[in-house]
Amino acid sequence: MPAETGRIAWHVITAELHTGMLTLAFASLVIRLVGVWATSGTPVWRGLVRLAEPTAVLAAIGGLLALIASIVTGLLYTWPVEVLLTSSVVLNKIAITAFATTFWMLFVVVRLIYGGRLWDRPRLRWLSFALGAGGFVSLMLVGSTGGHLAGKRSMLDGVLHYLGVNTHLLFTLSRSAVYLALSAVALLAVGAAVRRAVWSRNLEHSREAAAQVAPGSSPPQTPSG
Amino acid sequence: MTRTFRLVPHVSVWVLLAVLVLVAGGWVGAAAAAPPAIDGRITEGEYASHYQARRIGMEVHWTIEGDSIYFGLKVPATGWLAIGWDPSGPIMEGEDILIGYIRGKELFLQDYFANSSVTHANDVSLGGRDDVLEASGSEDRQSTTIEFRRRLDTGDRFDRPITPGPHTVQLAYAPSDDFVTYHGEKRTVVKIDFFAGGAQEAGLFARPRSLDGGRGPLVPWLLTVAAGVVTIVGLTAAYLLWPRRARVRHGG
Repeated sequence: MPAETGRIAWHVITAELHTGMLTLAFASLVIRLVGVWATSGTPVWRGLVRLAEPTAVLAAIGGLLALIASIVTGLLYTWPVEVLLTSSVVLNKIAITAFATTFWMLFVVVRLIYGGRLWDRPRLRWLSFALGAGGFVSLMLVGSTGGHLAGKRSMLDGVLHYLGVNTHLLFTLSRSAVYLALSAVALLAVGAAVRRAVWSRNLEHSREAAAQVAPGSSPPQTPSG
Repeated sequence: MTRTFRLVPHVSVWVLLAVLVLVAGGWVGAAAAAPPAIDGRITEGEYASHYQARRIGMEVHWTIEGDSIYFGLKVPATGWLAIGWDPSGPIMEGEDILIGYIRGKELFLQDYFANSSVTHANDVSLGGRDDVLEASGSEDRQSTTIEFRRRLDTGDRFDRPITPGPHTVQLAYAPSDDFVTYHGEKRTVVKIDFFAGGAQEAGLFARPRSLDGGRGPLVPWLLTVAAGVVTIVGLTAAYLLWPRRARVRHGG
C-alpha cells in the first residue's frame, strides 16, 4: 500500500468510528426519551431504556473523541492545505463539522454537569435531546459532503436539491447577517442572565419575607436550569 | 563524324526520375503526416509533439489531424492517469478531463468534467456526452500507456475546445485502478499550445484563490462558522440560564 493511501486510511477509520458511535448515541437518546413516557412494557424494553442513558453518554464521549481525531487526520492526511482552503465543498464540510462538534460537545458537557437525573427534568431532557438531534443531523450532512468528495453520490442529494441547496457552492452569510445573529444571541444570553439574577433576588426577598411572616415555613423553590 | 548528343532522351529520363522522386517523396510525406495509430503503444516519431513532465515522470504526446486531436499518455505507474485542460478555477473547477486506467487487459477511459475545485463527474452523468472517439491502452509492470482521439471542439457543454494558443493543462496519475483515488503529489500543471507545440511548467495549481484582505471567500466563511458555533453555544447558555417559573411549595 502506498504511504499516502495508508495515511488517508486513518481519516477513513476515524470517520467511520465517529459516525458509528454518534449514531449509536443518538439512537440511545431516542430510546431514553421514548422511555420517559413508555414506562410499561416488556422487561426487555425496560432494560433497554435503563441501558440507553449510559450508552448514549459513553458513545457520545467516544464519538466526540473520534470526531476530533477525524478532524485532525482530515486536515493532515487527505488534501493539501491549498485545496482545503480553496474548495467550496471542503470548506462547507469543515463548517458543518464544526457545528456537529459543538452540538456533541455541549451534549456531553450538559450531561456531565447535571448527571443522569437530567432525565427527571423536562427542560434538560428536551435540551439534551435537541443537542443530540442537532449533532446527528449535522453529522449526516458532513457524511453527505464527504461522499461528494470521495466522488460518490449521497442519498441526501435528492432532499437537498429539492430544498434548493447546492452542495457545491460555498455557504456563507453576509457580514450584516453575521453581526445580526451574534448580537441577537448575545442579547438573549445577557437577557437570560439578567432575568435570572433579578429572579434570584426577588426570590431571596420573598424568602426573607416569608421567613418573617411565618418562621419555619418552607422557602419557595430557587430558580434552576 | 561527330557524335551528336541526344538531349531529348535525357530529358525524358530526368522527368521520369523527377516524377518518381515526387511520388516516392509524396508517399513518404503522407506516411509522416499519417495520424498516430491508436494501438496502446507510443513509438518514436509517432506523434507530432510531446511534453515530458519530469517531476512526475508523465509523458504527453499529441497530434492534431483535421478536426481531431490524438493523445498518447504514458506514466510510470499502473493505476489511473488523467489529462485535463482549461479549468476556470480555483484548482481544477470547470476543467475538461479525460481519465483512464487498465484493469487486466481492459481499458477504462471516460470523459469527465470538474464540477468543483476538487471533484469531477462523468460527462454522461452530468447530462453531457462521452466524446472519446477511439481509444486503446497497454500496461506492463512499471507503466501505463493510453492513446485516444477526440474532436478539437466536441460541442459538448462539459468539454473545452482545443484552440490555437496556450492552454492550462493539468496532468496527474495515481497507483489505483479507479476514477477517484487521490493523486497526491503526482500532479502538475503546464501551459501547452497544442497547435504550436510549446509547453511550459506552470506550478502545482492553475489558479490558487487569493486568501488575502477579505476579498477571498475565507473571511466570510470564517465569520459564518464562528456565528454558527456562537449561536449554538449562546442559545444553549440562554436556555440554561433562563429562570424556570418557580413553583411555591405549599404545606409545612
